[in-house]
Amino acid sequence: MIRNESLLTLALLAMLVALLSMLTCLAWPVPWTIGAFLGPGLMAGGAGIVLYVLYVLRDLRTRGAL
Amino acid sequence: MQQPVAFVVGAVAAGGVIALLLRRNIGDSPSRHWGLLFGLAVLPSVALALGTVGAVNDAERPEFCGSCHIMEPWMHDLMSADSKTLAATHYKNRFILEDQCYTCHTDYAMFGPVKAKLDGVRHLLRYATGTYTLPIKIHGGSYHFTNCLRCHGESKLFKDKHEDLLGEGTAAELACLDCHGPVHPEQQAAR
Repeated sequence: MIRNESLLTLALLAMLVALLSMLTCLAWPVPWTIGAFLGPGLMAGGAGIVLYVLYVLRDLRTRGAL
Repeated sequence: MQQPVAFVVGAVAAGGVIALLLRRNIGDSPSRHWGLLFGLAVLPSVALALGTVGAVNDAERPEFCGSCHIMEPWMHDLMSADSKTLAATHYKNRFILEDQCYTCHTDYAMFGPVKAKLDGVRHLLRYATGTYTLPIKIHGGSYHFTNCLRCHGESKLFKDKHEDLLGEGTAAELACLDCHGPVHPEQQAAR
């Protein structure tokens, strides 16, 4: 079991940023909210997925499964 | 709100992520790992995909095109009852029911809509970063007449009035805007 959860926390925060930018964009579709979502927002979502994959790989390695 | 499904899925996904944030240090059970997989990867990915489609669709509305202040002269002309430009005539007579800017500025080809959406993203980036130059010009230098023919091309009125121009080779040398127009107000005059 991984005790240091900073990678997971970062992944969750990045995904939260992405989702909040998406909700803002959908509720208030003006150029800067749409641009913020399609640019930095989606990048944050991608980063969240990548960090989660790294977290899973590290967890599996810690357990000796990799 | 134009995209209620995407909004609801996104809100549920955001709630799930917040719950996972608050409970991230609790236990090491299989259910926790399934929860992470679904709550952090699967559901948010679905929400972001729906949101992306929704955001791009929202960007097709003329109100969105006009929300960049540099487009104000074009929007003012489009909404003007007195304007004689082609854009205003199409708009006020409801020749195109919705997404008027997007409809005319989408190429009539297999990848036309994709290209139009990529152009829109480019416009957003240019506007957000202030890297556009004035006067703004249509990308590629000219408007492709096949976009007009998408609606007009098969109409009897068009065929009757353009019979002499539809001979072999002639159509390729002429563009609709050579004879018809102006499409939009002259930029300097509109400012």
